[in-house]
Amino acid sequence: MKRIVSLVFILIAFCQITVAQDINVLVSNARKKLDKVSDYEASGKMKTNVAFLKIPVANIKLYFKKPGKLKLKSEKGVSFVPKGAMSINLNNLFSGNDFTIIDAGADKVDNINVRVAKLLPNDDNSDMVLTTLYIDPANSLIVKSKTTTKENGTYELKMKYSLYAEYGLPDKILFSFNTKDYKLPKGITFDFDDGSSNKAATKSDKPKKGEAEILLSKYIINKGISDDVFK
Amino acid sequence: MLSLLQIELFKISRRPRTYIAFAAITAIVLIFQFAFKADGQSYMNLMLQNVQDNFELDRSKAINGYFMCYIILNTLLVQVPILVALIAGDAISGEANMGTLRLIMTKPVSRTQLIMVKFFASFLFTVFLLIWMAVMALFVSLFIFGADDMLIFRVKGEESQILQITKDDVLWRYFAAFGYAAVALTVIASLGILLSVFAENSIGPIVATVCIVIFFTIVSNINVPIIDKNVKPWLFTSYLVGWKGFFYIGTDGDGQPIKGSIENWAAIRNSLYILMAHIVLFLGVAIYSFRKKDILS
Amino acid sequence: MQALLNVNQLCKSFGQFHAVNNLSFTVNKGDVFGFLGENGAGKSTTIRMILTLITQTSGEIELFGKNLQQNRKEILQQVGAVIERPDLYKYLTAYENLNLFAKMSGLKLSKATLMEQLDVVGLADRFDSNVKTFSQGMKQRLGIAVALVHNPEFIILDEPTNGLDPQGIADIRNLILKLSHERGKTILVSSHLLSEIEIIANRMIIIHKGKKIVEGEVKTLLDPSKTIVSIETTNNQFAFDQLSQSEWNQKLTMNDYQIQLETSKNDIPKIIRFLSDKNIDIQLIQPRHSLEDYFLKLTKSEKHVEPFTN
Repeated sequence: MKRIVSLVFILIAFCQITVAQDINVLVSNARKKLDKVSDYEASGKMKTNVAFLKIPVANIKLYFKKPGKLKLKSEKGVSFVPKGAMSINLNNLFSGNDFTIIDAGADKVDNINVRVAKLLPNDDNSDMVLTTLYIDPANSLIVKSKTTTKENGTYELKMKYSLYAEYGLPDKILFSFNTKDYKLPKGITFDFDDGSSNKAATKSDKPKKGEAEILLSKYIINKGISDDVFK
Repeated sequence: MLSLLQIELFKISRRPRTYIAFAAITAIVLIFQFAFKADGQSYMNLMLQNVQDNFELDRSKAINGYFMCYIILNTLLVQVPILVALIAGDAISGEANMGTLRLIMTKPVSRTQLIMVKFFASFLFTVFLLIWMAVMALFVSLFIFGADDMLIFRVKGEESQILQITKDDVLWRYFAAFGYAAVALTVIASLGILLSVFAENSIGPIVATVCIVIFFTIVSNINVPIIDKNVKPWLFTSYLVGWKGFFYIGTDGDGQPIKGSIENWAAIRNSLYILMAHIVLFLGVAIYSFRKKDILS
Repeated sequence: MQALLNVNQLCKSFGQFHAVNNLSFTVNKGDVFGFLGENGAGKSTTIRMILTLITQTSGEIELFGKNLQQNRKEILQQVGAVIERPDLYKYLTAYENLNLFAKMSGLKLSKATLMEQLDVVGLADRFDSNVKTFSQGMKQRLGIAVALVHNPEFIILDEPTNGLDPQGIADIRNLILKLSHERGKTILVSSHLLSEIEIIANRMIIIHKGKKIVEGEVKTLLDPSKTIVSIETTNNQFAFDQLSQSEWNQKLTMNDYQIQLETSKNDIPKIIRFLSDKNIDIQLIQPRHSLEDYFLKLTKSEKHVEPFTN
């Protein structure tokens, strides 16, 4: 989870941009906005929508500290944190400016006019293959991003901003990712068959979509965070 | 009747074989707890399958007392019928074998009474066994592993699911599950008693009871549609695992578990009815046969 | 004489086999009733029917003037029994066994009472030993204590001396006589040995292949006037000829090596004198009761035995 959020965070950092500017400037502005934040602690809820996971909404706490420390903690209980985004260290990617930005024109995300930037890593060994950012040029906020990785397929982030928009910190993040079908071998669980199961369930080997909806209600920004939190 | 039951419990309590069951449960549970304390990760990996590529899970939290108890019961409740059969299969035949049956039956004790007393004694033995299991598998596990949210790995038809029950919603499910297990195991007990009516040594009915349970269990797990549909509903063993139904938490349209809910209470209730019907049937046939039987031992 | 047990036309078949066939007899209050028959004659089957362990195919059993089937519980409260081997809970002590069966009879007896019962059968000093450490005789005696624990009116002992040593046999006999004489109990004792019944019983029945052969007073049945005397002499033929002309010529027979005649036991000295007077040397003279003789024939499972006539 921490990496999704780090992705989110970093992407958000680029959202200070003026209208119809050069795409490089747009990205850079968005990033500047985020640069104002050197650490934060956010609390909120995470709801996971994956077909095979029947898990409750988790109360979470999210910690960030520059340059790239991030930790997501479930306040209590056991939590499944989608792993997908974590295999890429976007902090490094962006901090090194080690990518090429391509202007991919304009688009609309949830009725907001956006500019589209494609980020191509210059390092051939990077796990990230391509990242597409959808930037709201009016507010210099990244409202959507799509990242394709070598290892974990494609995942998508959608962000909504309100109270903490000046720091480029979203209140709501919708994280979509690919997940494999969960299949337990028959006969190891000896389950109770109550006769209600849908035997005609369509089986497909296609990757399934999973979603995690994160609502962050309260941020404490730049108050300093002990490194112990990230251990 | 009550004093006969006391006598019966006294006899059971004085027989070394009674304690085999308790020792076996203790040993199995301790081995489980030791194994999971040492290497619970491997089991988690097996259950998570390919999902561990997509999700991160705090396993030290996931392997908690509630989870352990479920894992232990999952295995143990397959073996416990054998332990129940050990006592119930011996109920009448053991007395016949020892030669005490004829002595009892020359006392002013009716045959129906004797069967009922044997039944209640076996039932109480089963209950004590389950209480002991609860102490060992649940409370000792909670002591060793702590309490936290509980994960259930479940195969539902063609689907596999992972359910999460918050820790404040677990304990009542265990009490319900142990209650259900008591009913399920009492079916085994009444089957054991029924078979013990026909034999004059205890090995026969014990082995026969265990064989029937194993045979039915295998048949109910063949997983071929024709058997699932036509045979499985008629086998009482299909309902022995119904206790798990209490852990299949209900979910809303969003797939969010609803606290305090059960996915399919009707199925559990029907299973309970079917199990109870088996108890009545087995016991009825046992009483009928025993009343007609000439005691020649 | 008040009838305590009335068995009326009792039959029991196991498939084609008629274990008990139209058997009727009566045990009177105060009797020590001998139930005699070879092994497999139907004694145990009959006893098990009296104890409701086996349901009869037909016929009726009345105990204490009541139908057994209909008043089972009430009747069994007044009956104590040891059937064949007295098997008890081996993993329990003598005291525990006794206490357990007392409770089963619906009694709550004090420790003192139970110890007294154990004392009657001479097991008071072993009350705390597990039954598995007991000898056959001790088990038998404990079995009797269990049968007596609820102070029943009617006591049934099935082959109580089986497998016991001579001392054990004597102990059981004394106990039976004591129960009868001192406590006025009615006792039914089964045995395959006439000699045993002869000593303790006042009335008896002999059954064979599930049928009654004879029933009556032991005194009458074992009437000394019905003695069979076997004689071996140096010259059997001559002796036989002489006896043929004597007063004992009524039931006189001879085989290859013996002469047999039936007479009163009191006549034996006269027979010896008679033969001596004829200069016949007697090698052996052996009196045997005619019933015993008859019973021996039965137990030797001779193919055809004529009904016994007294």
